[in-house]
Formats: sequence, C-alpha cells, structure tokens
Amino acid sequence: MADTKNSHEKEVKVEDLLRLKRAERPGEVFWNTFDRELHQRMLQTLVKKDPWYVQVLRGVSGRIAQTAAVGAAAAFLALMVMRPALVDSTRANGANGANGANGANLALQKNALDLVNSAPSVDAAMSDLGSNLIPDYQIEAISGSITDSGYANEYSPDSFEVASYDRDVYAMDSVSLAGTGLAITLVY
Amino acid sequence: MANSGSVTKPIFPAQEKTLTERDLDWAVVRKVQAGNVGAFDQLVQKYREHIFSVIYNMTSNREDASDLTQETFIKAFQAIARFRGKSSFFTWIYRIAINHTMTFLKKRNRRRFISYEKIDEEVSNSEIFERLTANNRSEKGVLVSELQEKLNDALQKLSPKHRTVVILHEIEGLEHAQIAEITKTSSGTVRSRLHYAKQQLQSYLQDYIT
Repeated sequence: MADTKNSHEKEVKVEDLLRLKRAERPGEVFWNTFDRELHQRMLQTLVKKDPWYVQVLRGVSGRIAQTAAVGAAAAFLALMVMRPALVDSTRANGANGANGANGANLALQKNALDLVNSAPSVDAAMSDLGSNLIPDYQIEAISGSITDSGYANEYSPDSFEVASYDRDVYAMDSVSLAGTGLAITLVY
Repeated sequence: MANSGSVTKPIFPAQEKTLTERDLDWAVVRKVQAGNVGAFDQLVQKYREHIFSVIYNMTSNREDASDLTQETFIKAFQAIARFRGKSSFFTWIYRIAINHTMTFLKKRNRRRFISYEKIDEEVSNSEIFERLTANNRSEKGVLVSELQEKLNDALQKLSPKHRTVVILHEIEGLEHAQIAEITKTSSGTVRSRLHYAKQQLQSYLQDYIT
C-alpha cells in the first residue's frame, strides 16, 4: 500500500513537464532592454509619417474638395445668369409690387435689377447654355413670377421655371437664393 | 524571476479574481483612452511576462518572442481607442498576441534556429526534477537542458492551434472558458484540442513520463 502511494508520488505526467516551462522566463536585463525598445517603437508609431499612399489619397481628396467648391461656385454663377428672365417679370409687375413693398424690398429689387443690367441677355445666356449642355432636351418656355405676397411672407420662394420636358422622366432641380427671396426651379 | 512556487501556481486561477482584474484593467484603459498615454505602461508591466511566455512557447525563439511581444503591445496601443470593454483587457491582449503570432508562424515557412530561455535554477532543484533524476539516473544539469530541448521540440511538433491550447492551459494556467473566449471557440473544442495535444505530447515525451 505504502509502495503504491510512493510510486504515485514518483509519477511524472505530461502536465508536470509542461509546468516546468513556466520557469523559462527572462531576467531583469532582458526586461530593461525590452521596455526601452518598446518605448522607442511606440514613440515612432506616434510620430510616424503616413505612408506615401495615404499622403497621395489625402492630396487627391483635397483636390476633389477643391474641384467641388469651384464647381459649386460655377453653378451658382450660371444660375445668376438666368436671372434676367426673372427681372423682366419683376419689371412687369414692378408698379404693383412697389406699392406694397417696404424699403428693404425695394433695395433688394434694385440690387436684382443692377445685376440683371450687368448680366448678358436671355438669348445670349440660353445660347451659352445650349453650347454647354447635352442636346437631349428642348427649352420650351421661360416663365417667372414674383408676387407681393411672396415678399411679404418673409421672402418666401417663388418658382421660376426655366425649361420643361417630360416631367415624368426627367428630374427637377430647385435652387433657392437665400436672402433674395428667390427660388429657381430647373426642369429638364 | 520565477520561483518554485510560481511553477505550480496558475496565473489567473479563479473567475472572481479575473473579474476584479478586469475592473482594474478597464479603469486603466479608460485613462489611456482619455489621453493619459503613460497609463498604458501599467498594462505593459502587468502583462508583458505572460504575453512573452505565450509567444515564446509558441515560437521557441527568444528574439522572435521579444519582437512579437513588443508588436502586440504596439497593436494594442494603436487599437485601444476602439476597445469597448466587451471582453476583459487580458482576453483582448492575449487574442492580439495569439493572432499576431499565428500570422507570424504562417509566414515563417521554414524552421528557424531555436533559442531557449534558461530554466530557472530554483526550478531545476524542484521536486519534479528530483523525481526525473531518480527515474533517469542522469546528471541533473544534463537532464535540465535535455528536457528543455525535448519539451520545446515536442511543442513545435503540435499544430499551432493545439499548441496554443496547451500553452494557455498548462503553462499559463488559464481555464477552458477563458481559452475559448481568447481563441473564439467553444469550451468543448478547447477540451478536445487539449486532450489530443496531451496524447501527442505523451508519445513524444514518453522517455520522461513514468
């Protein structure tokens, strides 16, 4: 009985051998070097310059943003060119509108007229548009209206239809010009 | 330095202790996430030996283990802002270490020169070595280096998945559930891999097993 117990005590199992590996640990000198190297590498990652492809991507995305901004400005200017048609109708209704409008509205209209006078004619604008756009639609009519009530309602937008062609198929874009009390709807 | 006591003592023996450790680690992680980069050093100091041990036993190479351990901490540091505490920090860092080592082992297509750590002298005087010396009738110094080589060889013969489970359970002292969480498998799979791996090791190391 005692021999059996003794032999069990002397048994060596796989687990016993594997646990010896817990003792395979490096000393203090190793850890000092390890800490120093790790800190250096961590600092390097903190101040590391981005790889070339990230820099290129960043440059390209910057260019895209720049191009988009220029495009938006161009689109805005193109819309401003459309304004003569609006101002023509403003002139037609000018007498009635002036009666009810306050001083601010008058100044606003004067500004619009000034802009229109300095802008090219409707025909010239439309011919410019024609040369730049894909000729798969036709401008049928230009209409515009500004009512007194429109301005009275804190410059609520009026619609300004530049062109229309098969509304079910083509999309409609609207642009409102903040502060001017104008809204332009493009149907194409 | 390890002593003879640490040879048989598991590193994370009970779930309750792990939960406490988890809370402590989470508090440090929050500090790092809040911008206290220096607090990360506390986590490095706490886990570097465990992570090194796992990687060293996976690779059987001291220099590779050192590099991979450093890279593990750098990866953890870079990703710590995304750590949400769904698992404990120790599970997370062990997972990073194991995945990183697995990728390294796949890339390392040929066996490299193996460099071992020295087994601590106190351990070579331990009871197990006394028993081994008695059974093998070899000189203790010879036995220590011979056994170390055989053990590392045997571990390297296992597949990385089986090796991982053996290292985490038998050397790091983790429980089946903890290993399952780290390796993203079930406890059943862990048990099965452990059983198979031990059988394999038993046949490789039969000269030392009585």
